[in-house]
Amino acid sequence: MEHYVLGSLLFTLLLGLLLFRKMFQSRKLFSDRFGMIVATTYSGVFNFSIGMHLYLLLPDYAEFISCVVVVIGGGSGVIIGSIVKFHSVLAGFFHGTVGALMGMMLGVVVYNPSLCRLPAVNEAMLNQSIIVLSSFISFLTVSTLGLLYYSFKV
Amino acid sequence: MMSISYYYVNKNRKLIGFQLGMNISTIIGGMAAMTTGILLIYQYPFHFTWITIISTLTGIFIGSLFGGMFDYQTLLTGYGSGMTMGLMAPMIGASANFSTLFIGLVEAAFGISFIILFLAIRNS
Repeated sequence: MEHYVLGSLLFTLLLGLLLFRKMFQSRKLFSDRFGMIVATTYSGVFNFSIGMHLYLLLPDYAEFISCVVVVIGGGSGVIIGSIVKFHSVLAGFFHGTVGALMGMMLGVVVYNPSLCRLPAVNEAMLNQSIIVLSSFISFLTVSTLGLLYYSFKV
Repeated sequence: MMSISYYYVNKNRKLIGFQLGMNISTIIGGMAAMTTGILLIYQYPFHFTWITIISTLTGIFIGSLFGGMFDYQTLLTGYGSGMTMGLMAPMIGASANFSTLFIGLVEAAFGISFIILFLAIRNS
């Protein structure tokens, strides 16, 4: 299970780097509004995935991971926003931070459902739900980044 | 309700600028995903994972349906908003301690957002 989650995390990182490179190549073609929407969507989804996978990978270091995830989210939002203009930096920073914290929250709830007064689960059901949710988030990342990649060509 | 408002927006879509289109797709996608997630988690509290998946897909579908009427960029906005709210909604519904008042509040917010949508389209 840990190998699956680690592989999924690396896959997300690879996809994010590929899309960033593609966006950096075609940065002269962007309008103002399009840059802002790309920064919002990209940083939200990417950091959501990163936060959830990092928490599922190392659930024992929750405080440390929350700090790391917020720094990663804000940094990647600023980087992807600074390609275009200054107000997309703002949008990217905000959505990156919110997405990272929300992804970590989803990881916490999946790991310990009695936090939300849901019925607790046993070990086998926990593993199954972690794998289902991890593959669903990977699918979501692939489809969103694919949509963005397609929108660079239009 | 969703189909009636889809028909209404679709009839008047030539009159709507991109700014209002962006806001329409954000509001409708987010509210639809939130209501779906909260009602489903009240109904079936044992299937947290599948309810998260279903409400996220509902938000994505409805947000991009409403956003796809105008532009490619409004489609992306509706997609992102629906996905974010859909991933959050079952957690909100589960931590609200299964109270009836909260369901009433969510339904009222859903209705009010539709009323505001109609008013905004008529006055635009």
